[in-house]
Amino acid sequence: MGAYILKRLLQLIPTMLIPSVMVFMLIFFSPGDPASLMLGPDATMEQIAQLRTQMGYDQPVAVQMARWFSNLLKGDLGESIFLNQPVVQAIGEHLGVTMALTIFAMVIASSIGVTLGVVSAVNRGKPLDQAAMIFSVFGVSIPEFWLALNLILFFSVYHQIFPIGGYVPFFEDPAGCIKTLFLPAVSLGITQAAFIARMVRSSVLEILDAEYVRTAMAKGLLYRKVVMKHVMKNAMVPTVTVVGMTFSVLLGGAIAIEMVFNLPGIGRLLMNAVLRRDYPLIQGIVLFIAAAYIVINLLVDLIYVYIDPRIEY
Amino acid sequence: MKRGLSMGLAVMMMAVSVLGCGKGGQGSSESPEKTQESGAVTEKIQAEELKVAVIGEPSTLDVHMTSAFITQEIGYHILEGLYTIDGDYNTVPMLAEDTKVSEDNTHYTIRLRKGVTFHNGKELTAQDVEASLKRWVEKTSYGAILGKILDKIQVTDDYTVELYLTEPSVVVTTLLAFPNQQGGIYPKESIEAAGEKGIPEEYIIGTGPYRFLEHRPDQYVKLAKYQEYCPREEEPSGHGGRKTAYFEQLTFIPVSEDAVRKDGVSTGEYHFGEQISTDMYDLVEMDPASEPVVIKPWWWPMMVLNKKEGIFVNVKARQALLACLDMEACMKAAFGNELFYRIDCSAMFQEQPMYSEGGKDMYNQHDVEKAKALLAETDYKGEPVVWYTTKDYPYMYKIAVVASQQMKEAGFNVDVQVVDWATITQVRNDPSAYNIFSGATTFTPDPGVLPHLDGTWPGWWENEEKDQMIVELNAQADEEKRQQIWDEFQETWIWGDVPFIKIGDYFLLSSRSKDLKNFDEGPFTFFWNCYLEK
Repeated sequence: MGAYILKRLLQLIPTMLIPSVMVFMLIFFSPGDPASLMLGPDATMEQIAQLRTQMGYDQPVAVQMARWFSNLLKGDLGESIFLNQPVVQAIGEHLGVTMALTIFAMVIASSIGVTLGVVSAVNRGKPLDQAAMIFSVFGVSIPEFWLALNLILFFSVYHQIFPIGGYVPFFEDPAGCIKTLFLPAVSLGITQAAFIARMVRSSVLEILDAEYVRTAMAKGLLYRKVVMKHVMKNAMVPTVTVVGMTFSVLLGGAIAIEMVFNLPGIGRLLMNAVLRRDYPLIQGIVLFIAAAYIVINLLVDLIYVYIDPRIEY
Repeated sequence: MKRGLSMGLAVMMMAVSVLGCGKGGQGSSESPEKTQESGAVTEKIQAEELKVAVIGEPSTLDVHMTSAFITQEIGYHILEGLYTIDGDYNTVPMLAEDTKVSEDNTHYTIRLRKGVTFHNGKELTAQDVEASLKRWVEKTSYGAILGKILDKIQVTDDYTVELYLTEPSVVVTTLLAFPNQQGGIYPKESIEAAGEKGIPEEYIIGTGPYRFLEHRPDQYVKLAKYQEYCPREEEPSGHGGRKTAYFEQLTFIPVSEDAVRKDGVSTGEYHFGEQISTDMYDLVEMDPASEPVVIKPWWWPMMVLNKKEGIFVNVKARQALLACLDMEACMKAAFGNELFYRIDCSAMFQEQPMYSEGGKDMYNQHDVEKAKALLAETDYKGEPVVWYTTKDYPYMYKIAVVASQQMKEAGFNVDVQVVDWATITQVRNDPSAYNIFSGATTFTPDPGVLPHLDGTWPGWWENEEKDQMIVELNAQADEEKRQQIWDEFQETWIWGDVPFIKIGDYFLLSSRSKDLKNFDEGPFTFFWNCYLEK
């Protein structure tokens, strides 16, 4: 097990380097530059050229890339051009929001998704199953931002139950934090719940047809007990995979939701960094997202061992 | 007197201003005030905080570093210049006590107000002004215009600065007054602390009614009332005159979605929501908690033509393009509601001094046959006319869609490239990349300092005769003669030579809380002198 974990962690290095190089090249060859944006619409070409030189963006791509990688080896991701702070610090400051939102959304998504999936499977073909699947089709189809805007309209504008945006850190005001994150978490959670529900339903259905389930039923066990003890446990492996994938996606930044609800998270940070051509920040966030994917996938793989003892590494 | 200071021959005294700041500044004098409106006595609330939802995050708080609107807007509250513009867009003094201009308009002697303090408690002196102006000249486009003719800045004593010019100019005070590239005066120590990315935030110190408090990127910029602020004594007018800070704290919150900015005002989370879609006008008007704010004048959209390479090197091709355009159709498509646009040929807005109808006949012709005839006089053979536009500013894209159709009718083979704004800011510097790019002109205080009249600005309008006329315009002190020169310039050069094509004026919609009173709806949004009222 220890060797497996070490191997997976070592895989982090090439996995993170490949997207970093690709993003670096993509950014370098795409038009637009931070100097023009920083100086504003009335800047002269001389002023833009001067700032580009000061920032080192007039250097050849190889020089810029070598400088970036050499700094990376020293653990320095550089400094954000627009935020005037180290990239690591910028990511750190925005990570709390994204983590809180992700956890909140995952709680909603998992509880609704798993419940619906199981209920739907054990009631296959019945009205309850159909209702649950209609919900999940809607959930998967509705764009998150559209749902978010409608939630804002109903709960914030018409009824003023929740604020329309902003963020209060959990450790400053737990109630305020939950209040500000409720609508964004629901917007994200509903769509992810629908996705999880569909996956859980098909896993449970597959297991319900398995011979060991038939045997358990034949032994005269209660249906509920069979579902809870035998079916659910075996259906957890694909479910954990889906939940893990969803978690990685959300941790990488729920861009649309963070923009709509004005949440200062990783998604919004990335979006703004792209719009402002804040190269060091884009690089840093891409590295962070790549690392988050790998670490979460590793954790998911390790959880498998506890759910299903037949799995060994 | 329309042009105020910049016309000065000998002594132009702004004698009403204070000779020193009275004790206690604004902090000690404030208490809730009573006003009587419509028969009812209401109370101006000395509110703790005013929350303003702005469109994005400032790249820097250093006003010398960028002309970006968000930075400038926050800066209006922190920093002050020697001059500013009043409600009628005339130049008026702010930190300057009075100004003497030599008869030949080459020597300006600026006396400073005494007793004005920076937020760090230090008194404003000529040394601070010298350091700030030198940096402003180096860093900003408007400063660069002054820099071209500036021989030297000399400190005579602690309260007097002299500017020596190499050629006559009457636009010096106008340049120093323009809020969007403000010649904000920092203490000398702040200028010395500046790095390549500007002045560090802890050194963002000015003499304005609010001081910088805290900046959390992507969350807010907070300013606090400067208790020792030294206001002028003249009646408030635009950015000029007396400034009173009614709020203990001003918070600028970046909110990227305009629907959220609007709804935030509606629910009371923000007191002001900037720049919302004009399609939302009726919604704001119907909302019991909000009031629409039409910022008028605002900007004007334009097509900038590449005069260095390609078809538009030929003036006949430029005139053909101008001839085929139907401005009404373009503006209607871009802005919809007539409240938010105006068909007008003038480079200066109707509300400004120097408004001109020169070249009116050449604007909004929509004469396809004339366009075809003019195009036939060129050697154009249907090569693609590359037009870079963007959906980041939806009106630019909509104008490109409508105008390109009109151009096709006249025989142009238009290739519209839709990219993000960042791409345009880079592409426009490459003469081989495009024929047209979409742009917009920000509010400009004087025609003599319009940035795109300069030959080095993208589009490259290089013409010595035109440049000479600008020099003549900027040297002419007589208002009537100056207006004549400008009328002729606009007719002969802007509409005759067609370096760029103004489409029309457009205005901006913002939303404010109904409780927010005495708000000035000028193009440079500020939050002093306004207050919340029960």
